[in-house]
Amino acid sequence: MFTTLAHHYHDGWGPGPWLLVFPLFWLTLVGLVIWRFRQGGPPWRHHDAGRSVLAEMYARGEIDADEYRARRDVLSEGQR
Amino acid sequence: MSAVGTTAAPVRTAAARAVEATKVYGSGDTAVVALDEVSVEIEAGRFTAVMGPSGSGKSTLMHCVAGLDSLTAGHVFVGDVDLASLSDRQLTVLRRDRIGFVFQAFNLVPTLTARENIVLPDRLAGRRGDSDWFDEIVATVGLGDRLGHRPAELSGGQQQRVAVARALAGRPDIVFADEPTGNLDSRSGAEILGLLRRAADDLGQTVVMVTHDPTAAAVADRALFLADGRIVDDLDGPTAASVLDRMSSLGG
Repeated sequence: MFTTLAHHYHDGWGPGPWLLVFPLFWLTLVGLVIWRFRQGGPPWRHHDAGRSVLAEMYARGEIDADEYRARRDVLSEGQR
Repeated sequence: MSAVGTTAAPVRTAAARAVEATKVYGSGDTAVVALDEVSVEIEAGRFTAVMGPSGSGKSTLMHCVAGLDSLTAGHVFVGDVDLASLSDRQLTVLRRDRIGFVFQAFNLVPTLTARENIVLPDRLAGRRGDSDWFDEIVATVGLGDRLGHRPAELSGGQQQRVAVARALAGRPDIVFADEPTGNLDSRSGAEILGLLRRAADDLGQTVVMVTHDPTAAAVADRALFLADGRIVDDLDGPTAASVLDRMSSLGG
């Protein structure tokens, strides 16, 4: 009975070393996400942030309509 | 508080003041003095018009008091804050929190609806807008059913009403309006002037408007006249006739 069980394990039917791989995978993934956010927001927000700053400067008159359009176009080009 | 060397004690508190404000563009032989030791107080809760021929320094004065441009010499205070003492970052925060702008060209973000344009400054400042205040402003400027429209779907007058609502939304200390009726027909222009008038009367909003239009200036409580970078006249309770009279004597 005991031999059968041991045999079963060593044949790779049990979790074996793989038991460690899954937590490591998740830890790495969570770490990466946190790191990305610390870099200044998630990547899909970078474009929006640029636009928001631009919109605010335009609303406060720090840049005029031509400059607003020119800079906005540059931002959209960067996205393509 | 009363660091200014004026004789008479101010009856009203100043929302902003300039003390010997001087602005020189360029240097040497090509130097142009846009503001020449201008000292003036902008009283809180009043509607002040700034007039003068082009090149008189009226726009420069507005830009310097609003913190969009810096002085060569002298001081500008918004409330008790000397703008020269602020870093660029602090200046940006001051403009964001305490100053509202209305421009001739409206400066609305074309991809946003009227509502989104109005709440944009609050949203970017990370403030949660006061919805009662928002409703009151929208009612005041009369935009009710147009809030979901984009600027391109609105007339010039409606776009400027959105811009006025946006300027009022953050409850700024001062609203600066730079030729707000310059791009509008006379009827829409009169509506915008009426709105700014009501902002001062009903909401206690301090309003400073740069204009070259005598009928626009007549809506204000006070009209300042600039020529060659100096304040040459200061009318209390201006009328279109009295403004026109001063303008012709200035050759504007």
